[in-house]
Amino acid sequence: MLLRQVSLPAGSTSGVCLLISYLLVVMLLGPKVNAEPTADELDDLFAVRGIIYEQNDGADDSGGNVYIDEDASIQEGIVLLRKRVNDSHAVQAKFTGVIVTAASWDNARLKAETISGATTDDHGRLSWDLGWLYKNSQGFSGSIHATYGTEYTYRTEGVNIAVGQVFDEGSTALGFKLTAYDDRVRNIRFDGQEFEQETRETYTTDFSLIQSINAYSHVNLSWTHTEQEGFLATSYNAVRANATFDYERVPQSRSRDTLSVRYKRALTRDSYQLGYGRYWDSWGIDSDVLEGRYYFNLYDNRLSMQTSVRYYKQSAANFYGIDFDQPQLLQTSDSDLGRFTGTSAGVLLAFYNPQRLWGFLHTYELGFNYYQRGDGLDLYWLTFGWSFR
Amino acid sequence: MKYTGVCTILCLLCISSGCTSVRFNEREQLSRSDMQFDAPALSSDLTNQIYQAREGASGVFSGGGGGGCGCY
Repeated sequence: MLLRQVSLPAGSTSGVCLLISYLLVVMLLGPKVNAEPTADELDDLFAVRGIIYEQNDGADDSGGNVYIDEDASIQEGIVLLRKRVNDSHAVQAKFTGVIVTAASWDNARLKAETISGATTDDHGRLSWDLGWLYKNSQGFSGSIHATYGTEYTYRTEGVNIAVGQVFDEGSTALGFKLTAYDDRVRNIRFDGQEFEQETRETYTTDFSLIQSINAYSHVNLSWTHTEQEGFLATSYNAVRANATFDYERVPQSRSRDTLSVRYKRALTRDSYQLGYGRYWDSWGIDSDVLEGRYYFNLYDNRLSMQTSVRYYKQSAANFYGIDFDQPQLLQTSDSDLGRFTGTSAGVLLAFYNPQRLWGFLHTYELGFNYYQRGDGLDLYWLTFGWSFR
Repeated sequence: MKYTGVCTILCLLCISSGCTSVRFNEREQLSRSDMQFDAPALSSDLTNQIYQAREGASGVFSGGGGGGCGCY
């Protein structure tokens, strides 16, 4: 089932084979090395990441929402550039480009063009993030980021402010982050009707504590609280009510909370991580997440493999339904807001080359994740990356 | 539920604050790159972004949701 679904774009297979061959040669012929040094958050860095994402809706669109074709393909690329200014300051820029091919998206886009004459040539998302980072010798750190993104029918502007303080020779680290987003939504409905532009505001606060337990293990506790106001529906989502299709309608506000705890322990060469997260919101969704990770040091501190398994379970929103007898004041059939379980597994290979290339240390990564949702929606994604610092 | 959650994290904070201090010269294992939470950062961001797009929850093991839609 899985093998049938995995199909890489033409040309990418030979590229991956070449990369693996190169890594094997360098790994086997290179000198023995110490472990990869932990990067300082302000160090110069150039990183590129790519992702290929495929979502399968099952035979006859039977997965997720049975009335909607939810097949999707996404290719995303990220470029990150960080430059240290002096001992305490650094600046950073991140650019993201995404190409989306989704049946539901394309269907709504074509209808919108045909019926309302809306300009909908944009097939993806572009965004940038500019940041300033600060860190001093007393263990204080801070950062400010500004982001801007645009995608089909959406435009978003955001700001992120974070502060952190390390205490007790590094045994305790406290962090606080505030994120605010202001979105503008072109309200083009699934039947091509276009209404007035809508707004959406999102404010998120994060509290985080990392506490050492002993010389081999530490724990991370975090609490995330989000408040959202405005147009929170997905404009082109449809709901089947009284044998016809109607618009999705959801509340104008949403309050969301998440508590997470993660434990990490170092073994002689390897390490493992266990995590649990609890989420609840004002729409009636509760969820639990269990996650385990094991990090293998495979070869001479150069080749490592991180494996992960994750189990997710969520209840449905109060106004979720597959079929409604009559149109409701609040109604959605978005499968992401329904009741389901999800099981995922992943592997991430990382290769660290201690020999400098153009004056930089470099790391390569290749990852694969597979996610199977209990309601029949399956997805997988392949990630690859290069980092120079 | 909200109060239960807040009480839970306060209890965990109290418990963890009683942990033994680990001196700077004893932190070799904790400083290893594989012992950092969310490393490597960009890969973690990408994966968390996918989970947030396909699940009703947000902010689990990551710093909350972002702007824009991400719905397809």
